[in-house]
Amino acid sequence: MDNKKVLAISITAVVVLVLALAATSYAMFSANLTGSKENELTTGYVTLNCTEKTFELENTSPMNDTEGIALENNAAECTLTSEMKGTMTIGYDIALDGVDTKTPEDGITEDNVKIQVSKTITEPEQGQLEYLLKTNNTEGIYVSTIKESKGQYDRSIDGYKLDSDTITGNKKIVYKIVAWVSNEQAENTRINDSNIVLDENGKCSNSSYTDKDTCENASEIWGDSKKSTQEGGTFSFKLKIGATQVLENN
Amino acid sequence: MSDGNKEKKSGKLTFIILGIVILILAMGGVALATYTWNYTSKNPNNISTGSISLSLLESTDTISIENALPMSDDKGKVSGEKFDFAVTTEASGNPGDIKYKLSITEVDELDEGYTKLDKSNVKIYLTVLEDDQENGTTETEVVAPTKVDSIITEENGEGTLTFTKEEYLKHTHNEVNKEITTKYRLRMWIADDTDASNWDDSNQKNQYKLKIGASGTIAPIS
Amino acid sequence: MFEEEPKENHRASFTILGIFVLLLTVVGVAIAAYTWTYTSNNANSISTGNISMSLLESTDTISIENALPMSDDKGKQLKNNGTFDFAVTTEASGQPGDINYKLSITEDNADSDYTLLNKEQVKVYLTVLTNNEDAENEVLETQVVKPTKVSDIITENSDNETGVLTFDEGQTQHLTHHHNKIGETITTKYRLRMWISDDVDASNWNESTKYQYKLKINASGSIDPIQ
Repeated sequence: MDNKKVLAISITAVVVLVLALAATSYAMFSANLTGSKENELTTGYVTLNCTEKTFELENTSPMNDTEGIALENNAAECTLTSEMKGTMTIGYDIALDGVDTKTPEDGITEDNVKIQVSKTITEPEQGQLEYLLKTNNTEGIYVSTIKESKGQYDRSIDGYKLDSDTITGNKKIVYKIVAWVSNEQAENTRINDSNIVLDENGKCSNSSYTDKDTCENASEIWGDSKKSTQEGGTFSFKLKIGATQVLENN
Repeated sequence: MSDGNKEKKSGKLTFIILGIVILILAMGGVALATYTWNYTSKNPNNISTGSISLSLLESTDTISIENALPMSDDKGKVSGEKFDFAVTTEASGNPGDIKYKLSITEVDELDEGYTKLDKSNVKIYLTVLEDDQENGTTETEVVAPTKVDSIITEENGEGTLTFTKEEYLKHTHNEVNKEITTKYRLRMWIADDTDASNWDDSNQKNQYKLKIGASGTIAPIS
Repeated sequence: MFEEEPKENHRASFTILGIFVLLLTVVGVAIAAYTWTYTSNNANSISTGNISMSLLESTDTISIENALPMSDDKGKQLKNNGTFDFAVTTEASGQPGDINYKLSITEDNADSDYTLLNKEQVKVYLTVLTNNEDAENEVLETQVVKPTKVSDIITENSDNETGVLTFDEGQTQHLTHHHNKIGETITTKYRLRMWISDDVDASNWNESTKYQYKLKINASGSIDPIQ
């Protein structure tokens, strides 16, 4: 009985152990290999800046394009600088902002103010001056003609876009906007056109005479006067730039 | 309110809240943040002008000659049909030179019963009227006797007068609120090389009518 | 049957000895299972008497400076110091059948003067490298883990900042080495890339903001009994 018991226990134990061993030889293979190599990335940065020159031109007068372009103290400038550590493509729009918002009702509006727009890349290498929109070295365009041009990269720019471009790396781009009051409207307005209002019926060429006889006795001219007026006023604008990362998919 | 309604209501509310949560999640998913930079000028650029006006004062609206006979330039310069007008410029600022041009326009509407003279038969002559303390009014020739057909060369019946003394076409405004006036006298007559031999005073009545135009261009102080 | 005492004792001691030997064997195997052996300078491995698994890591680790947000398309094309190659090798003297393993990544602390980027700002991408049979020296890359944010791998529930890489559907076969021949060595080569996700707003990064992300790769394997 005891012997049998021992034998039975022994056999059971052996069987259990064999089973355990068999199971262990497979299940015990369990490897956890921790890598020793560190993979790392550190971030770069992108900074954009616009150094601006603004102008204040008072008491100017309507003029033609050549005169407007030659005028002094009528150029706004923005030197757009990008500094990049790392690689990124930035798309940006530059536009006029707050166009004539202060005095929209006066005589000087986007319909008679002209601009000439140019850009020059100055860094990393000095580039050629490039005229933008449909302007050139002798001609400007009315501000009103770009009223509907919307931003390509910045959707908040919903008009008056001057340029859209992309920028990568360290760069310096000078944007120059020359503005003047055009005289073309005045020139195209003819004094005897039907749209010119009659200024005064019965007027003397010397305003100190108020009746026909005294006027003519003084060798002045008595007649009807027609008048064309170019109302004065103020036009103002700011510059706005909106930039965003352009994700290139290729 | 019945319980059934309450249940319905709370069911609706849950549905609405669920909808809002989904919306917020969707919005969060859509709003993709990337690198952006925005710049707006602190100070505006300003450009301002005063007002400028140009006016034309005429003794009559049109100038016409009727049933006139050809005459020499010398005679025409003195006794041609006369028409006075004045050009006045005003500026609230001091914009410098205001330049203007004078033009003539042929008038097609004639008085009843008249036949239009050809513009090659009509001559005009323009002078500036200036007040002189000693001599009263003086006349200075600015457009020599010229046939209208050499002035009006365009189809639209309008031609610009070419001045021999261009300084009169410029008013210099160097003071604020200044008014400058130039007075003109236009004369018109039938050129003496016109063949008037067959003009019959009873059968044909000839007429020629003109209008004066002024347009300004304003140049800056150079 | 069991009449003679000594004989009986002898039998009993034999049985006991047998059990002891068996016990030792088991313990031996168990000890062997936790023994690290290095198959090369850059590899660490673990082996039983007849099964070993090793992770061979390239010395050319990912070392990207001045990283900026990048599209997946660009990130997938990173080269040179933007890639990290490693290999998982299993060796078996017998034929234990399938050895399954998993790959995981572990976030490391940032260097002292850097701030650690968030896990959702970094993406990883894994490919399997195979030799092109048609062209010598040309390596073919097959995507096995699509561009995935680290935050989707090392989740809030992960221990020790470690998360298992989930292989794309149809690519999980790379995680099983079939050892059906005696004395077979099977190696799978991988290439890891990582970059800054293109939905990261880098607008406020400048010269003084220094962000960093570091990770390591791990492999863990186990055997499936022959069925």
